[in-house]
Amino acid sequence: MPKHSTDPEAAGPDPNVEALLARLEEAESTLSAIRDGHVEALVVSSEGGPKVYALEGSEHRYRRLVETMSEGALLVSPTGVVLYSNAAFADMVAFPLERVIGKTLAEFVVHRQEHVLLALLEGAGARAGSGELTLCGALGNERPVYLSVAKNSPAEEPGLSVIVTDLTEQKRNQQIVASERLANAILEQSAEPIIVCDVNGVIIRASGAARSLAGARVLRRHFFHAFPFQAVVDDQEHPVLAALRGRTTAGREMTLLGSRSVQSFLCTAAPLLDETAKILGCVVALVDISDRKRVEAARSSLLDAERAARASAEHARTEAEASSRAKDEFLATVSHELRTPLNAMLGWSQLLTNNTLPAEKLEHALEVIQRNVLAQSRLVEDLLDVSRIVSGQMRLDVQAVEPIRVVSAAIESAKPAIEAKRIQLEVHLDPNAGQVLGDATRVQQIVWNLLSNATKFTDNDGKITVGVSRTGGTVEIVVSDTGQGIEAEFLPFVFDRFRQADGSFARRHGGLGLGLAIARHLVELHGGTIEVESTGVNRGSTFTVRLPFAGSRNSPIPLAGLAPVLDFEPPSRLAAPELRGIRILVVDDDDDSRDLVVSILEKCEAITIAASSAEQALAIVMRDRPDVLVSDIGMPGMDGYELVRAIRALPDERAQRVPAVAVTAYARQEDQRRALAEGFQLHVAKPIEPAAFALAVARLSRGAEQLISP
Amino acid sequence: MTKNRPSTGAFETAAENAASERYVLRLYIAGTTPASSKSVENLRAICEEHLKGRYELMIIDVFQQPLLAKDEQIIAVPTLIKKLPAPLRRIVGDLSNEHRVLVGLDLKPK
Repeated sequence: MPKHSTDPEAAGPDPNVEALLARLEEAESTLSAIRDGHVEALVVSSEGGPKVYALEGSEHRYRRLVETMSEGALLVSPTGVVLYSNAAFADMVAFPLERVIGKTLAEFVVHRQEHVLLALLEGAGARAGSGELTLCGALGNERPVYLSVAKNSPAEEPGLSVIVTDLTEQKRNQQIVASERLANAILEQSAEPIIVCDVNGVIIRASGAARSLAGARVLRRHFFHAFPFQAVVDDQEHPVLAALRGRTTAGREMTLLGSRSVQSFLCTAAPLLDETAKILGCVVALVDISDRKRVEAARSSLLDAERAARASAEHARTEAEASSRAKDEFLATVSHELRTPLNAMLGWSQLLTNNTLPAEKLEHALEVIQRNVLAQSRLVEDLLDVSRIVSGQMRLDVQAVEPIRVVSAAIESAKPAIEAKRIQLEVHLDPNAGQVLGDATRVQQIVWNLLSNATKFTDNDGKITVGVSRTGGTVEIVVSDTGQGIEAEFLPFVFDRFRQADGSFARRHGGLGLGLAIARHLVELHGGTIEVESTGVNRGSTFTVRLPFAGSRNSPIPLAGLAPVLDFEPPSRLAAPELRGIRILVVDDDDDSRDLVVSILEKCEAITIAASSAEQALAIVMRDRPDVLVSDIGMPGMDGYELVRAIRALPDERAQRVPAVAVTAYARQEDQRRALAEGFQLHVAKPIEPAAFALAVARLSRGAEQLISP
Repeated sequence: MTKNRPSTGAFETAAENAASERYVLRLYIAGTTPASSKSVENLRAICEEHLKGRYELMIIDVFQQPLLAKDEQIIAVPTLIKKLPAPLRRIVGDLSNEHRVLVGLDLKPK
């Protein structure tokens, strides 16, 4: 108890003040007792007597219920003022609780819906109402809610109890349901396969097209198993794997190995993310481009084929052009080679015709003409040989041949040309070289070609060496010269047809470039080899022919095969034979040819009878029984073969056995064979060399005389 | 009722003074008790009528926010505290006596 003032200078204590102070003190102590929690209940007097308020009363539990529930709970006055709000509602509108109570409920509703709220609150006038509303929070964010309004019983204080349910979650769910429905519709309606995978790549959704593409159950299967795609380009991450790692792939071409065919697709895959960008799975869309690919493939194969066709046509054209160019070049060469001797012949023969040549030139003119005729004959012979080689028609008349004799004959043929150039000729013939099997004519041709080649390419005063020897199982024929030699680059082509080291028009050497090619071919036909060596330009060349050795000389060499060589024999070297008194029938439809033959024979003092057809000739044979018949083969009407057949069939023995010579431009070996087979005794190819021809006719007539005379 | 009618010069002076001043009020209630609800309704009506646009009101439920009640040494609820303008005043009760409330808020002379 506080002591009252005892100041001696003050007046005595006022009993009233003391009483007041005491009462104040008492009130304060009561209050502090209440404040300090020493009181359990308060008694408050009211009109109906004292009311007891328990500080923790029976309503405590309900209060706790309201305070802790997740719905908003409000007590609203009839005028709409919020008299009470729990914390849940304050949370919904994002206001501190102390700023919610005392405001009107309308302040928490979006403007456009105030009339809805009003209707709800008024409708609750009957008993209770409910409806959806959108709340507007402190930050302007909207929140869908469900309001349940109940009017308090009239016995209580007038007002409304409002329960507010947050619909945000539910709305989201509805949205999800709606979008789910949309997604399903898209999936089902889509013509393209669309697949949704979870984070592990397991299929959780698939469009109808996707299900039929897989041809089997797809849900709950791994994408890789349901759709075994193969990347067109290796080393690329699978679009599904990429999508599950957060990367989008657009339009990757992939193939699907189906049971029947390979299908091509463009594959697009994108990750499926939640609001926090967490990967939930992926969506895969496929576009079937098989048809497009097939069309493209067809088009490209068409293009390829076209390109190939064009290329091969181009190639063929190039080949044809090259071949045609070679042919043109060859023809130009042939033409040139044929014209050159013709030019000489024509020129000199015109000079002869005009009788303007001095006597000493006359012989030269004739010699030139003859030489050129021979050259031309040789060209034609070579061309025929090449033609036989190309067509595989070259035939060999194989016998035992003694190379020494054949080489000697060839040397004899070549000698005039060699001597003309004052070339020294050295010959080494081993008499023990032995024999080879072959066609004497052809072996001689080989040697002659080599000699001719050597002569052509050796300068005046050079030297040519010819040797024949035996080395083991082969007989070697060597022709070497000191001529211009062969460049190393040209060596491999020496034996090719139509090849001349110098193909230019200005080349110094004539010829078709066929000699060595023919020689090689003939050597090979004989089972032999031919080689060329040259140490370089102007160092000369050496040709070596090796033929298989066939035995020692023990049998005579038939010379019959050498006969055609007579064609090449220089005419001046043969004396005109005696044909005096021999009656010779000459048949040729060509006047010039017939006249030539008649002239040659009459020069040898033969008695000639001329016929321009086979029919005419047959009549003459039957009537006059000539000693020798010289006949052309190709004639209109009855030809030479028919004529000789008819003669051989004549009843008159003398007429029947008349010796016959075929003189023809059909110069091939087979033509010769046939002529002999048909009944001719001799075959002479045009152009004829007069002296040789006359000689042959003379021999034949003598043989016939021996044959005929007893 | 004459509360809306100024009858004395003192009231006018007080009203004029008060009219320019901003009020910061705290009302402490206890849940949904009748007196609490009544006090909210009454106070809101008074504020809207006399202090419209110039008052800041916080209503604190001592059940839900007991810590806020402790600051102000609240003994009984409802209690209205006028924090501004000074001096601080407490009015206990459901605020049904408008005259008493207006005097307490210095909106009316005694």
